Amino acid sequence: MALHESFLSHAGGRWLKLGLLLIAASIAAYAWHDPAAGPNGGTWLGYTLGTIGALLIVWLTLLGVRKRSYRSNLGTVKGWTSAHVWLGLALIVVGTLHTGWQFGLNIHTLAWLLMMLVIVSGIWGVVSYVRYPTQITANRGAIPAQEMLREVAELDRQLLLLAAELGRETHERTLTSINRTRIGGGFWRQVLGVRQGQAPAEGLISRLREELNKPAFAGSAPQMGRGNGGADSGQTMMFMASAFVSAEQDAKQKETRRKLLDVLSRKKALVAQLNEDITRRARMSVWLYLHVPLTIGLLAALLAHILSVFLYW
Amino acid sequence: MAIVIRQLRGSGNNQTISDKRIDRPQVSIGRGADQDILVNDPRVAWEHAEVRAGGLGGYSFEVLRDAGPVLLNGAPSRGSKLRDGDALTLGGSQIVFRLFEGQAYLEVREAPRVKDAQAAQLRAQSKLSLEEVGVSRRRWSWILFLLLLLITLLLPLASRFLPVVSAQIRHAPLVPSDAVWLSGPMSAAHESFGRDCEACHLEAFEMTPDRACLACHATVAHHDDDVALLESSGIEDYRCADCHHEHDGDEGLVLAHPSLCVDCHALPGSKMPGSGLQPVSDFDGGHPQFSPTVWRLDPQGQREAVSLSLQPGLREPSALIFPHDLHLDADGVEDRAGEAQLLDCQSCHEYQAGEVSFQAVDFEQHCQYCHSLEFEPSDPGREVPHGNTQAVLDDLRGYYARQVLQGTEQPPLTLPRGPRGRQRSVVLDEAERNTLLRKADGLARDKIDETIRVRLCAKCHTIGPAPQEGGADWDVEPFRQRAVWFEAARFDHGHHQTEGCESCHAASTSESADEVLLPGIDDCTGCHAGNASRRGRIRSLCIDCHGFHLAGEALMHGAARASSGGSAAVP
Repeated sequence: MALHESFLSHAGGRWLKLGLLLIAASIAAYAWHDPAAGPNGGTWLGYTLGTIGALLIVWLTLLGVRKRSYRSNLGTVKGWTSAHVWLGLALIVVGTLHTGWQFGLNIHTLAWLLMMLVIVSGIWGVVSYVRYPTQITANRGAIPAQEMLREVAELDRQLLLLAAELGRETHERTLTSINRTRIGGGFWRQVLGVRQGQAPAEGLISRLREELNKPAFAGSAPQMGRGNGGADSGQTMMFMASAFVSAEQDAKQKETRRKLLDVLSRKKALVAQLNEDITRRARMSVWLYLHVPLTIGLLAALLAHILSVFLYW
Repeated sequence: MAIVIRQLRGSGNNQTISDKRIDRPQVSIGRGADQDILVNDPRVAWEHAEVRAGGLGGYSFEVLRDAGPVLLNGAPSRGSKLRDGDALTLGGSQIVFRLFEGQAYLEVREAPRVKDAQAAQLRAQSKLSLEEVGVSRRRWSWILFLLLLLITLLLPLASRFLPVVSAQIRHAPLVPSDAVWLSGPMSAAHESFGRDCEACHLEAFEMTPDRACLACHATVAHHDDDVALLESSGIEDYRCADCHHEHDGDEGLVLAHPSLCVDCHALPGSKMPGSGLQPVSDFDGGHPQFSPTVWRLDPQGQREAVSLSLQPGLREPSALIFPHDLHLDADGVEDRAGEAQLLDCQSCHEYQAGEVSFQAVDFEQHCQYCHSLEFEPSDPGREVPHGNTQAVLDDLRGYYARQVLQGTEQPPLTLPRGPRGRQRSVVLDEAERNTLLRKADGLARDKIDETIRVRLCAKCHTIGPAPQEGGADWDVEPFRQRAVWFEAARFDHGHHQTEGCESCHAASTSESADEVLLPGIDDCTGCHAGNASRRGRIRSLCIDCHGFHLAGEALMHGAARASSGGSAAVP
């Protein structure tokens, strides 16, 4: 929690206090103000709140620039982020009071709506940054994702070497399983955590278990107690071939199968963990895919809003 | 269509080359012994891929079924057209496609060692973060930015500044034009200008000028006729749109806010020195007592209109004798037949059409049912006309002249007899006519003086000295009551019908028609609050009763009314 606590309460909550002050001042001025035409964006208070709001929007957008310029001396990125969050939240009040509660089907309300969507997606972002980092750390320990990926690759390499000893069909199946291994995936698969592409591994695992438990191997595989142990109707080529090999070869193949199964299970668990990690990290940052484009869209709407208001004064 | 497989082994001087010509249009690649290109690597499938010759000399490769993707020039691929120099990497082998003088070659060599090749393949077929899936925030930002810029700014700007475009898109449905800039709903009155922005916004970046309003509203009266006072008060600096807001529905069209009036009228001494106006800040507690305009008689007995503060006992010399209390007696009043008639206010005060105000009380309609104008007891049913003294006199003279001529009047009229005692012709000489006239006028004068003056007219009207042609030296004084007492305010009786008349007008205790039976401001503030403190009462603002455009002659912004005829004042 240390990281996100620190950006929300940066500098002793300076930006939180400033945000609250801005909210309180805006509400107080709005309550006191009694314009002849009713509250709207065109009164002196309306122009004031609108100017503050527009400058805030532009400045808050500049966080995206500041955090990319590593040489900047204009405060720390953490400080900027803290200000971004709290002043962004204050913008709900400033921007909404600027409207004077006049909404309609026009670009002025569109600009307000975009602003609110940006802020709501930003709140989502804050929640994400508070919530997911701990989950991510808990899931994967201190191992970086790249390291986990390398481990999966190492298991793949072992799988292929083991499978190569078990004849063409097993090798093909293993290879298919490896080729179909999808870590992560498309946008929605990452975000929603929908897992596909596990079927080949599952199929291979259950097939290997089945083979290990067949009568020909039953005596030498007591530790693979799971499965029914009975022969199934669809006898495989593997089984046919195995029936004729010597007992010594039998034992060796059985051992190899068990190793393969073991490595496959480890791989499956590792891939699941890695996918979980990817999903959590995707969920942590998916809000940015709304926040950033909506922010840039807001700049266009804001430009149109301000220009049109003074063009048709 | 043959393809040559060229095996390259070793490197530099030790490199060996062996060609194998395949006379089929496809070449198989895999780990199986039957494959044209054998790639002995555990990562490669028995039958992994095929290179095919298509029509028109084109070549392509395809990965078969479940086999993993191969690397085409380093990027994972499951199939593509092949161009000269394309390199396919499978397991530890690299196959380079060459096209030389129409002959296709597949150069097979050992792939350059890739550190941790297995990890590289896995990495290639994995997408570890949202950044890798090709959904670009930057691209979506640009798309949204440009789309919104087009809809909200560029198209509207085009419809503002390019007449050609505006003609096309302003009235086209669903096409964004500068109508998307409307800041709120148009008022009903101006709705037709909603897509014709330049009708009011004459110049870009200039606040709607008054000349845009005056183009239609040229005859709007000014606030007052004292233009010098208006200028010194600063009201000339206000634009129409300062008080009349558009794009706020109907509500903004006439702004209802006390500050619009009170900004000046709260301090008339400093804002409008010399105006003699009383300060007004709020209806409840900040408004002077009402000052009705009433008639007053000057020392010469001439009536003049004066505005007097409404104090108890304020009287207007109406010249009418009408005790409201008597007519509103709970037991009724006797009509001419002696029967009791129960009257209420509406018996005499009938609404005008529209129910804003009342019709004038009319003698024939409202009084005569009880109040007979019969003047001759011997001739019941015969009444003098009402409302015109001269007509009454003429009528009476005519009536009695006829009585005299008919001889029904006592003493009987005797005419001198003619020669031979015969009745003479009816042609009278002057002396005879004068005799008859004198007699008839005498009868009429008696009736006028004694009966009518005392008994009929004087019952309701004060009689003043005014010589009348034909002898009488008096006249019925004209009714003096202002048709409208509150000249600078509006009061809609129709909207107040839920209140009984008596709650504002103390008529049932009024003994004299001279009493000005108007309610004071305290009667109003029982229901009507001002703007400041309401406590459950109706919020009432200046413009609920008062208009702004009140001048009789001066028009808004300099012009004077061309003809001072009808009042075109807009309230």
